[in-house]
Amino acid sequence: MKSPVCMLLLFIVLFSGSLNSGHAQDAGPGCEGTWRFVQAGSTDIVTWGNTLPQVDISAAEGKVRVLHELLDRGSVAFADTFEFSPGRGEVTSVARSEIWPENWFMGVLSGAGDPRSVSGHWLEPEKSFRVVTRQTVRTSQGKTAVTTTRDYTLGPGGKTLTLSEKRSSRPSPVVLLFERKEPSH
Amino acid sequence: MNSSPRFGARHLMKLLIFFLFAVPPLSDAGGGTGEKFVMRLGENWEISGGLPESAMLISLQGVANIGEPRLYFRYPPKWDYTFCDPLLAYYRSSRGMQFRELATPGEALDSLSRYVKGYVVWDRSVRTSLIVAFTAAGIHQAVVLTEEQIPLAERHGLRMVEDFRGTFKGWSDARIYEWAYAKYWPQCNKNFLVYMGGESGNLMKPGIADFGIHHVCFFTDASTNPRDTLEYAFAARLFGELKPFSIVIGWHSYAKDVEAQHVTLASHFGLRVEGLHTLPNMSFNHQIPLSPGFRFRNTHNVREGKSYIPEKKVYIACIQTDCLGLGAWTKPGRGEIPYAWEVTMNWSWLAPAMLQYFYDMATPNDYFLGALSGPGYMYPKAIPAALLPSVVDTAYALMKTLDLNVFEIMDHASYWSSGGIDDDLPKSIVDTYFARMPDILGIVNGYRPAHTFAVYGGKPFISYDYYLGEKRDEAEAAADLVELSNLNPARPYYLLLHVREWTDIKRVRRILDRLGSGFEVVPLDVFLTMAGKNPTFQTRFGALPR
Repeated sequence: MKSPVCMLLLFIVLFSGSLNSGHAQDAGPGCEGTWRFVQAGSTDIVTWGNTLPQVDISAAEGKVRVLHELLDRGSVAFADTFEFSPGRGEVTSVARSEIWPENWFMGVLSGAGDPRSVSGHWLEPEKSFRVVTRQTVRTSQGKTAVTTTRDYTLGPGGKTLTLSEKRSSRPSPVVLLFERKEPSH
Repeated sequence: MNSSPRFGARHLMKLLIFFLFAVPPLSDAGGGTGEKFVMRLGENWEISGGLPESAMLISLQGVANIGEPRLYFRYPPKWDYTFCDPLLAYYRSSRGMQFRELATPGEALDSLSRYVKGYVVWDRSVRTSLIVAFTAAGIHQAVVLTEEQIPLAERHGLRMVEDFRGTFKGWSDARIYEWAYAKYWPQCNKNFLVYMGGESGNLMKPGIADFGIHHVCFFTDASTNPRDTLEYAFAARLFGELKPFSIVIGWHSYAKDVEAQHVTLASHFGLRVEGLHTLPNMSFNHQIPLSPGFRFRNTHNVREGKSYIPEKKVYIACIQTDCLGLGAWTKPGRGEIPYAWEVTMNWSWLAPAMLQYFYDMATPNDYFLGALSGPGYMYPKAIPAALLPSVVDTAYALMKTLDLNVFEIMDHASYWSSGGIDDDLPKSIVDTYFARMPDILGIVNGYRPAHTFAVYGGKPFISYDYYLGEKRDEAEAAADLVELSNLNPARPYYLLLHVREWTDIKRVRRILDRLGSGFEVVPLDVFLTMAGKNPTFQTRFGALPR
């Protein structure tokens, strides 16, 4: 994990700036934290090489930050971040990489240099939130727009996180299961 | 790759001159008239298990097959290449060959030790000593043994010619190979280099060793990863000292480098990679000629004068890559749907009857295409620009021999430095292929999906849009194809599908059957003909290598 993220999480934990503080104190830990991929229970995914996904969720100053990483034996091979202010409309940035991390087996590239918008809101405070991205991808026939709706839902006791990803182009959702990665001491 | 070996003008000139004379003949004309033997090899290929016995037998095969083919092995069912038994049956039926079954190493030596001039002892505690022993075995026409097998060899009148016990203890592979180079390289064949890579540690599967011993080749698994500075320099030196256009046969070590590094370095020297390290029985197969009067005939589907007008559909063409004989050819379902097979073109002269077997067994739905990037596995972006025309010409000559009119390119020279997304070719390279392959229907490109698309005078250059891995969940694979069709909304949409060789056709069919009536699987040559005349993809080329 990159050190700024660690510092941010440490800050959150120590000074109660976290998503779950003040809202649902009896509901156990919230969505924040680092989430490790659990293959069993997830849709079959295809990433580059031996990489596996990891999600890190943090919050500060009214913004939620969702870091998606592809890890290859512990090293970050690819990283992508969605940052939004819940319920406050779209934030637009520019896609920087041609890598489309969703599926290595398909002839799809991310539209590098094209705008990508991100918005998000709580579905259930501290337990579930939705992130919607609109971006351009490039295929053999040219550029086309894809809207992806990602629902992050905390499991019982806050031990698991389910990500349900629905792409406007895909007939079925991709469901990924994660378990909370306990901090190493 | 950051550090490209320098190419001297003299070497370049030698290569150009060599290309003018193209492929040297290797095999003799006959299949031999003497007694032939067949034997099963075991499942265990561990140094601490069955490898010593199998290595001894494979080295015996390499030596015993000098002069004429005498010994053939039936490799175990889980071996990479699955055609040993069918090919044996084919030899029996088409060539009238008869084989005497051998059951034990003792029986094998009883029957064949008269062709052997000694034995080389390798050191179980130093894996690389076996790789060096293979080199020494070729030079001495010897078998390779561990010390436990010495009494067996002595009982058959064989005498020790080399003993590596303790010789390499504590040495690095770089040091061992330098030692072997100093001792053996001057006597070794400079037309072939054997890469005895693949597995590592306690495991080795030296299926190609018989061929290397038979042809007195140097064996190595030196790393082609530039970070392994000593081994990389050693590999580059070997490559540079091979005769121009030589064959690097076998495979890189999975533990030391990656395929892309290996093929990139070989391509820098205009060398042709010919996999794999497990390719079986080649000292036997290369001596079996074609049937008298046989000519390679592909199953063409495009009829001259007929128009192929696409409908508003998604057209899919399936190609199995990664060498004929790996995976699906012998598995259920072949012939049920149109399927294209990458032909290992050098088998036409390395193992002619073996390639004839595939042509003879082909169903009307089996269509062959030429591969891969050149007359052998090469990366065009890594081949010196001055050599590329000759490389393409030689590949084209092989295609003519094999009645192939579709060619396939794969280039991973920039792959690992691009996060695994650069399989693409610059226009100048694509121009060269089309200019020098005038009668082809089209060219396909990639391994994973790639992004180079173009049309040259009605002939398409199409990259794979999908890679079907052997473990991909079938429902998800079907969803992938539907998603691709949604992301490519124009119709017709040409979806070129690369099927990983371990996926059998029954499974492919199940996946394709999940798609609706808007999808149609067509033969590759029909697919390309329609795509060239009615393209819906956008022209795009890759960048020149950095």
